[in-house]
Amino acid sequence: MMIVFQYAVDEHITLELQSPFQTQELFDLVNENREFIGQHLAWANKVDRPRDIERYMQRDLNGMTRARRWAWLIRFDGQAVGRIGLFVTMPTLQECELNYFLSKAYTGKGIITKSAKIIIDFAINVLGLKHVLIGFSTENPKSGAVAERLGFQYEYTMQDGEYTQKEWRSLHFWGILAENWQSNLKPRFEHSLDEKLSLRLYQQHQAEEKFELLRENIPEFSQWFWWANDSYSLVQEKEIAKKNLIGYAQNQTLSVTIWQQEQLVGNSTLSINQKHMRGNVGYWLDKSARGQGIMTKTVRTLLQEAFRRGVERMGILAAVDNISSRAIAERLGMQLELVQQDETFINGQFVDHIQYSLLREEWEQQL
Amino acid sequence: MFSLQVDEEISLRLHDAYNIDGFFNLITRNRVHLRQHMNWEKNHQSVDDSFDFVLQARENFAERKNIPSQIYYKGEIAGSVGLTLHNLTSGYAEVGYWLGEEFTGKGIATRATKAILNFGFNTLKLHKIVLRVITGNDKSIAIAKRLNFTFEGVQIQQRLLRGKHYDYQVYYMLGDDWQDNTAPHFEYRLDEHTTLRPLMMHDAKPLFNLLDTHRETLREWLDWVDSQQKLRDTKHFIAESLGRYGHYNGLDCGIWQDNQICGLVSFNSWSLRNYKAEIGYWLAKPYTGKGIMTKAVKAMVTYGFEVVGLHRIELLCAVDNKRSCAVAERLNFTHEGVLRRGERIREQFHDVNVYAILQPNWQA
Repeated sequence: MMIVFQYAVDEHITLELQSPFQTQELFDLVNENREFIGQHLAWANKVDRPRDIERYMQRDLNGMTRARRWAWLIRFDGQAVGRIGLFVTMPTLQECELNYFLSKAYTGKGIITKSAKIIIDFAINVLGLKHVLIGFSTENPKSGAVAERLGFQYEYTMQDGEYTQKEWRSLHFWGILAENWQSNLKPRFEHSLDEKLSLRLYQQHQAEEKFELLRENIPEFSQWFWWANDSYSLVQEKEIAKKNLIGYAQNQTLSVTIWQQEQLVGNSTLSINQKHMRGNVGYWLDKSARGQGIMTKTVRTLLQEAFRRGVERMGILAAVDNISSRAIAERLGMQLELVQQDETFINGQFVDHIQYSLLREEWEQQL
Repeated sequence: MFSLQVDEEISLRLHDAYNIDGFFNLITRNRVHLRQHMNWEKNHQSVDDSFDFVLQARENFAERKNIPSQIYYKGEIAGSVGLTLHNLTSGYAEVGYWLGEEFTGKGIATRATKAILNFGFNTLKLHKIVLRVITGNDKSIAIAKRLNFTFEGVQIQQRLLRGKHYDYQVYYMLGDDWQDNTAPHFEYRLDEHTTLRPLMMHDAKPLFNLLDTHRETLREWLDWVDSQQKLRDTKHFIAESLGRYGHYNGLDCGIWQDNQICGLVSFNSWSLRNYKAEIGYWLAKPYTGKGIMTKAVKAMVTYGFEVVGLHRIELLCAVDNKRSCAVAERLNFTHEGVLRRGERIREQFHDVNVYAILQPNWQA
């Protein structure tokens, strides 16, 4: 099973956070509905090859690295049927816009209204945005109905706001302010490991929470990680989030936060070198959450993801004295390869590190 | 040590963070002296400021905006001389320099400037270099005249110095009129025939030709040569290499044998934070078997430990690449272990030997 970060809207509809692996499905979706989508979205007519969709997706993925754009694939009974996105148009005003499209065959089921509700919950209750807008032309009364159903109010009209079907159309903007939004739901886009444990893609809006947890663990972590010291700052933490998301957009990094029920308990990062098709996992876990097999379960999931992506070799590097970290590699059947002397400079001294690895066929034998 | 040897007494070194104390002390000792014609000494209030300055200089070098260098006189830091590369397309640059007061009157500025002009005209093939002197700085005007620069004109009130605007006297020299043919390099001389030179953009052509001539034999262990199909690709590679240099992530040095480039030796995954780097290298076939690589790696390791201040240097090579592993063993690197399938070369996976040497165990 591949790692996807999703939210179940109801028994049929799920929203799946954008990833580069959605290209083919999204292309097929647009290709099959080109005419229908093209009525209101000019770009759909320009999509001829998967590469065109890739470019369009990269824009959203790049936007996500800067916490400006998000997008989700809408699935109905597992089938990709549409896409919904969020774009922070004015960061200083905390203002954002929704955009979406749906396959023709799935209209009339309330899919967009239900999905949009969740995304607005995410925008207002999770990201803390103040103002959500939907823009649509006179030719698109269905979107107007969605806005109305969600309790949006008419705000303004942008003359000649879009050029679609070779004509200029005015865009009507409907909006809602956070204080008028009635729902408190905080949707979580996650990959569940069991009923208690889940992984979420690490993004900037989790940085403060992760940073706080790290700070509590710094006395211990400063023995094992060179970056863990008192001068480690939230700014650095946000930079890390951004860097990891850039890697996510390029299929090189997957950094997840680990959640036990509603509690953030740790972090694990998979990085893949595509030239050599080898990967590496790093991880840490809050002290209170240890001894329950959480990290082993998480790392196993990341190993599986890496091998699914075609990696030939996975590695774990741990400080020689970091027994609990080493135990995870050993529990996962990894082989000890070498001790790298004085590998890292931690807390004023050089620390030996130990390298574990697992090859593809060793992994497959375990299954 | 990488330096441009001016003569027996003087050498120029690319700005770098080592000897940062010496650099800062030189400025501190000469504040009053420097303040006469320049206004930047106040930016160096602490060693940290000077360190930031040097990092910036390194980045400017990497972005090909500057050739910043420090002047060493009898092994002691004496000042700075550099080229500002205003326009590489038209080959237009400006030369600048300063010396600590105790080093004036020995002809150091003239000799150092002449050397950097040689570098500019004969190595970088620049077309025109100007020297701008603030009116009243007679010593500098004397240098311009001594080097046969021509007076071009005056830039009226071009320079603000402590609240007052000064004129610039502009002097210029054209490459066609420059009489000296010496083409010096920033290099680490290993012996009479062999030197290491930090890779710069003007090396693109010889490097590409080398790769192109020997691509068949090189690609056995270096599939990277497949990405080098045109001169443009090699220029792109050098631009990236300079970027790594600028951010202290790497250093690529050309290995030159009798003025012919024959390979590269590099610090990769250079981490100042962890005092370590990985060393990588390759040599074109006709130059192998002569001990050149062992010599070059030895020099880089010495440079890494003694000048840069590294603690650990790693050397990774495919287990089957016997020739490459032999270099590590000849230099008494410790064999730490094998990374199984650590490397993929043209769809083929290889086990990789990990060698390392720690600074306390190094005997040059």
